[in-house]
Amino acid sequence: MSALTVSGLSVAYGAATVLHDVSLEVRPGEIVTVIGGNGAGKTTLLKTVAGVLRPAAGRIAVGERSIAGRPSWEVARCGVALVPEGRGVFGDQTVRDNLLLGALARADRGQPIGPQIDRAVAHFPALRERLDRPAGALSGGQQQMLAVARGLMAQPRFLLLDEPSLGLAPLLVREIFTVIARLRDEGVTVLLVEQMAAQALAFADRAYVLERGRVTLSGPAHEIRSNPDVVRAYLGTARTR
Amino acid sequence: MARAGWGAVAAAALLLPLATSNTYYLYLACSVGLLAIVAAGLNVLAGFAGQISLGHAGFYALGAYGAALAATGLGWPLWASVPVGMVAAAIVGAAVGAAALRVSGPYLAMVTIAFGIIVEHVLMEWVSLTGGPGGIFNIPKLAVGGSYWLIAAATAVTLWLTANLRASAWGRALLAVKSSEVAAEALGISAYLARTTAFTISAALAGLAGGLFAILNGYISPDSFTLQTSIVFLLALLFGGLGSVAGPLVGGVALTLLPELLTGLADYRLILYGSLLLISIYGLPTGVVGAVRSRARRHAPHPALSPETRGREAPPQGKGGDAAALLEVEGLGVSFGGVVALSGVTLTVPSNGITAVIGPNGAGKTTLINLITGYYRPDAGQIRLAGEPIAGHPPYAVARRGVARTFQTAQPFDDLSVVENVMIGVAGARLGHLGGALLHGPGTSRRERALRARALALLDAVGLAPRAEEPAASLPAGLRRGLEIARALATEPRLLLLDEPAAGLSPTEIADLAARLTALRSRGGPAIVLVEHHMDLVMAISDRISVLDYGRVIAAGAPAAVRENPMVIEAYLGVPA
Amino acid sequence: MYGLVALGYHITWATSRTMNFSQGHAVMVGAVIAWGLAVAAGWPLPAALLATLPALAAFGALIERVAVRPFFRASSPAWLLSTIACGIIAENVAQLLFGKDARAFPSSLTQRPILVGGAGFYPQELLIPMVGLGLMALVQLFYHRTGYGRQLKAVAWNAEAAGLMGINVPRAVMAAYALSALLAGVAGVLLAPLLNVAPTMGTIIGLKAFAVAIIGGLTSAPGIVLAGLGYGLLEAVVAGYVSTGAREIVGFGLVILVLVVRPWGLLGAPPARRV
Repeated sequence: MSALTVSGLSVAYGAATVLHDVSLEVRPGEIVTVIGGNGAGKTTLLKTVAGVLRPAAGRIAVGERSIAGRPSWEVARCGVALVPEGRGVFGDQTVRDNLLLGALARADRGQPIGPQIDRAVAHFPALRERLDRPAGALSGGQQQMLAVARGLMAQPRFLLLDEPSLGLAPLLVREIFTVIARLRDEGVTVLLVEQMAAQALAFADRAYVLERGRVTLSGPAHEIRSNPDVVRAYLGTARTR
Repeated sequence: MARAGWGAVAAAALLLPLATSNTYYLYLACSVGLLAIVAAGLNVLAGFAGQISLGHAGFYALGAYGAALAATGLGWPLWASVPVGMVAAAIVGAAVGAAALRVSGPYLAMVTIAFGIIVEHVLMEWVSLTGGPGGIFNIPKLAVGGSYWLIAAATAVTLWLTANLRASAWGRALLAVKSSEVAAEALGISAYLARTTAFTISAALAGLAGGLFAILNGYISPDSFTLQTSIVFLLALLFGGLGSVAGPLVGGVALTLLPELLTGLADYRLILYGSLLLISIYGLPTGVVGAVRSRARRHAPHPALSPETRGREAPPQGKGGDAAALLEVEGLGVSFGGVVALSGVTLTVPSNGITAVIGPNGAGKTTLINLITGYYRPDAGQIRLAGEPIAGHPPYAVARRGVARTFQTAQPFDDLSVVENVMIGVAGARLGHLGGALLHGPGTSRRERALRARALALLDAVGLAPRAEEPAASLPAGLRRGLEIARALATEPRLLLLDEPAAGLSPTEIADLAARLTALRSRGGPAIVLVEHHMDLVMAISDRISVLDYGRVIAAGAPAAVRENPMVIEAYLGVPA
Repeated sequence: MYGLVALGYHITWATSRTMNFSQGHAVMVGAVIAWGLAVAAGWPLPAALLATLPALAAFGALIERVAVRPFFRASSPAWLLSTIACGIIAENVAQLLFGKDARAFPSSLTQRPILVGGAGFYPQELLIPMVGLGLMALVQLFYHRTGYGRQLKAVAWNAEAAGLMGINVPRAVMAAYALSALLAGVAGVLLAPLLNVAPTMGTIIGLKAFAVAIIGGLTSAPGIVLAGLGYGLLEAVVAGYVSTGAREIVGFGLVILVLVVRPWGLLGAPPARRV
């Protein structure tokens, strides 16, 4: 299995450069998290990797295959699935239809879809009861679960998660992270972008710190977590929940 | 540089009749003026208020036929019949606008198309009044020379009026509504009123041009007032420059001269118009004027804070510091499409202090804010502000009573600068006299200076003063929140509702926010209702907390008590890690 | 009749929240091409029909590429104006190629009228609503039952998220435009024997179809077809009893009324408000 590598990535919005020369690597089977404050460029990073945005410079590759600059539907079919910030579920369609849409990008399109739905839903029992309800009727937390399940339907090699905790109550956040860890154990590689640095660092294997569009720190998660600068800037005085 | 440009235009306009006695050229110049007047009116509607109309040929027709009928039927002299046309157009414009602007965007464009077509057909059918397809002729007219001066003057006045409007509180209000209707309403501006006013002004100007058209030609017929005419009007504006004062004039020149220069290609006329339209949309989104401007743009230095404004502390916010209940919510309930969002919610907010509303996602916290601020109507229950019921009142009415709010995703007015954003908040619903705005009376300048000074002081308090002249769109996300809060405070509210202000902020920024909120409290500022997820922030600064879960209040009281409440822990806090 | 063309508006709206204002001109293009093939070049009618359809699909795709794609992400209604622009260009081109006068399109289905209850109908006139209803049923089926229809719905709801699912968004929008042009072309071919073929026929048909789409509801295909039938009837009644000019006035007056009172149409759904 190959790694997802990003090197020298620069992205601009109009005249403003949002990411400067960012490099990172996600090796198979690990959870990598990118933490940083607001406006640091985390969402921009994920969106560029997923093909929603075009980079101004730099390389993005899955193994040897370059995906930089390709549109999102091509990237999705290369085994990179993004669960976007704000979930992006299709509110006018049922949960099941949403999942079916997620499966469009998968590699083994010949296989029957039923068992796959079961597997995706196994992590999220709340969804199983609501398969035929419109996605718009679900609560925020349930929609987040749907978005993750939908991403899984693509059987991705790399699952990108953009702030899955945003707007969720702490109890749900723990649930989501537990599921993410379980996915890693089942062989899904995860690149996770988060505001809730404490939680993310507790579950991740390695971490990068993004500040104003640049990577300022990187290393094993436990090291980053005990780095005094990081503690002060990102973990604040919060007690870990 | 702009002054020099206008000077040159004025000189050319004055010199033209002296340079040539060819009446045809003068006639062309008159046509330019007429087109510019209509385009300027459309500019107020489309450039300032952001609504597209493809039916202005209808108002042009009303102006023309109104003036023609007054002149031929009633025998009125010129200076009376042209205004008749203009008034007729304005009245119909107000009616159509009032009816149609309850919806907006593409729907309005569709209504205008239908309107234009209806007018065209009425002109053809109502033979007894309008002369049917034959039109009205023998309208008394001036010699071309006389018409030229009249139209030139009218054009100059029109452009001057639009410039004044842009620089006034009314103009800013229109741009605010165009930028973010929701946020404008939260500041007390009635979007409906603003748009209808813009529509009426644009109809009146089209009517003025129509009346002048009638007396220029002496003969009018329905052929001149078709859908194609409306398209040309809009094209002139788009090509020249939407939203700029000079655009209509540039467009008027271009679209009058172009057909003249290319008479040989008459058969290709439509292709030409179509292509020009496509070119304008693709390559010139801000028109010729915009393209020229962006070439010549120099980075304007930020104005240093003048000594009077620097260091001036924002005057104490809000009124009253007693703990009497300011906001009372009783038994509030609402459902959407069969799903109960809130039920039996009761809450009391004192007139000073910080009350937090927390709860799991989907518990109904934003819904509660939207109900209080008038964006939704409750199905049951009451909301009282200082004893007076406000449930179901529209947002701008609630805002005018002293309620301000921020939004989960910050909504600054991107088309305006940072300081202009706050100036809108300071002015709120008090836009001043429209006539004063158009004519730039003496009171207007004084008001503008006062508004700006107050806005700068407020920006200073949140540290945004150095970026006052920058377009609001250029601010990064964290600062947009700050701008939104400054703008909300500018309305001097009694009650400030903050919807997840800490979302997406770094811990240092959150500490700043907490400090600012507690400072407001200690200065006797507005009552604050804080909807939040960040437990640290909430626990640290709230006086009281209400907890929502699945649309009901499950606990309320002092922070310490709420933290220990087992129901709350179960629903929301989970087991501490 | 109008319902068929109006369905085209519905499809592009449902997929991309845009409308193709040159839809009427697509009808004209269909009629013109069919005329060119069947009458001028002497092809048999069914062959002419089959050849017209892909030509129209291409026309629709072209419009999308030129006029709509660049503005898909922008929130301004620039697409409204650019599709209008394309429409008038198409009209002018047709005028140059075809000539300004109307030509007749003879067809076996317009020779002898069938008598129904005292009123005479040409078989062609009966064919049209049947085709219209049939196509409407197909379109509904397509949207709600097939995977591809689901994809188009997803693009309408959230184009960015749809792209993340592996849906080629621009291609989906183009497909929607091609489909709607196709419907317009069918309408054009069916209408050609009844009206006379002329380059100017596009504008007014487009506007009336648009009226029908608004009245029926842009988001509701059944509503549109019903409104189409209703509008056609209304027109006939008003033209018969009052005057032909009044026909347009009443029709468009109805549009304004609907837009003011119930802008999402009689059977459409009001958009959810998000604050």
